[in-house]
Amino acid sequence: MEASVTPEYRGRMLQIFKNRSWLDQNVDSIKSKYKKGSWIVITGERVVASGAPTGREAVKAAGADFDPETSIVFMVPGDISQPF
Amino acid sequence: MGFPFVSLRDWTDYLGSQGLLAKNDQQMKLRNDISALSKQIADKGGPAVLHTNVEGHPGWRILHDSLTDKHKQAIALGIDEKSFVRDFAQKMAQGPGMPPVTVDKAPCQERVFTGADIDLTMLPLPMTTEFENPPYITSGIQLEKDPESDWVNMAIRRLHLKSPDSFCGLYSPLTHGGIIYKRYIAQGKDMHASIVIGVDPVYFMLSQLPAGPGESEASFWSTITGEPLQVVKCLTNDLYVPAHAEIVIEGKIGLTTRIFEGPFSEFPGYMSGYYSLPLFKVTAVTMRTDPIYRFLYQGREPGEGHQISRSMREATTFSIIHKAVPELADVAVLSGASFTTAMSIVKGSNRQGLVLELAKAAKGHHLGRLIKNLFVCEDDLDIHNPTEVMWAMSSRFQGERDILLINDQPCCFLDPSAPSLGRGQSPKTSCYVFDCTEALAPYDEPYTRGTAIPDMTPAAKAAYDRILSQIRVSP
Repeated sequence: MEASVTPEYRGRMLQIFKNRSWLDQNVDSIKSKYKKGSWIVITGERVVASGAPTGREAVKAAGADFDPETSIVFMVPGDISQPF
Repeated sequence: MGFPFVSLRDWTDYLGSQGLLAKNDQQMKLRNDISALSKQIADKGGPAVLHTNVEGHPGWRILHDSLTDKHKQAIALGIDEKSFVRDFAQKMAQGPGMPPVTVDKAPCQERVFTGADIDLTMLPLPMTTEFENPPYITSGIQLEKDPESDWVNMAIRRLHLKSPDSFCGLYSPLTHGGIIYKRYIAQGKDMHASIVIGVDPVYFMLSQLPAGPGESEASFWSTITGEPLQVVKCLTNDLYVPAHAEIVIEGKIGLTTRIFEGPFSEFPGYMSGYYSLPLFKVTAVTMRTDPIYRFLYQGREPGEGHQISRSMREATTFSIIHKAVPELADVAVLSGASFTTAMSIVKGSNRQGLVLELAKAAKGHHLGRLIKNLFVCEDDLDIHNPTEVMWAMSSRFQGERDILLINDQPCCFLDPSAPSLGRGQSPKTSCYVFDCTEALAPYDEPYTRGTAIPDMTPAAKAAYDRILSQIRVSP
């Protein structure tokens, strides 16, 4: 059998990429909007929960909007280091 | 079947024949489960594991923990486990070996994906922590060639997937990869690089070798094996990769595009911060028809990556420092990729100033860059056993006279205890040297010096073996 990826798993990964890409493009506005060190959940390229002290609390707050396979659970950063 | 092992599957076949590999056909989730299993094996001991039923990825296999202990590492390197550090140091002292042999047809190019066919979602990537999204390639060895010389650096980097044909890799300006990338920036050229995944065990371990600047780690492959490495030219760049690798990802890193990356569970055991990093754009993926994805758990130690890095650092540090301080008997990395290291000197060779000499020799070399806690003991104990190092600290160390401080040292940027100075600034650290050698004569206590430990007589050893054979010892 030739090694491959199932369409279902691939679809999941593509959604993860979309969510992450949305985060990457909006990280500056996220930093200005949400408190540093707080946790947010991104599903479907939008923030569905915010202000939680931990990732797990943020997941709880997101409720049915949290998808364990494709959501991004993220701590709002301070400085972002740029080595080059 | 035996040493040298020219491919990962040679190695797994051998491990299987020796009862050192277990196959798992029960599907496990790529999120968390496989990395948690790997951590359990590193913590408690266990075999290499080959998963044959991979979530979402028919036809794939995943391998991990084939080099997590010194026993397997010694077999892979063709040396004696009991004298690992010295044996490996002796091999490396021979210097780079015969040049590689280029082949035209290679197993790592049985399948070729370019252009719109490139799809990194094909790779079955176990995720280490519950919030890791997208996943990382954790065992990819990145090769990049210096634009000013023949130097080809290789190192395992964390590679954060960004799209089906791109990812980011973390390297700092102080690392060899960073030095090379800066030279491309200075020349205004994209840097071509290739990632190899699933290589033979010697090549994999050499990727963790703390070689000096300008030294190509792969040039020691033939020194260790006695044979030339078979390589094949990449399809979209001028790099040469092991012909028997499982997967090769070719691409280029541009000069200006920066992408937000992180967090990731790093080797000091904490989640690292966020970085804005250069983007690696994939130009080709090649692989075997039935590839094995080699997974490497990364995070809080112990883990397979830590154990390999530890062995490579111990042997290389011994090899270099022993030339400057011949009284050096052994080197043991106790934690944190050498953040905490123990060195021993030959019993009876201690003299005034020797410990400081040893510490300065270690910190004066690039190998000592990460050392911030250095225990110096004598070789009447096994410094690879932390209990024995702690015994020496308990019974041979006095804080007010036996601590040396080497201040104002560059700090590893991934050290979670390092002060954060903000963007663009490198934190400093100190190196504490704990002199745990026995105090020099004369002594003022009223009893005769000598450690209170009975000899292991043949009768005692035979009884121990007899007793063990009567009970089932759990792992």
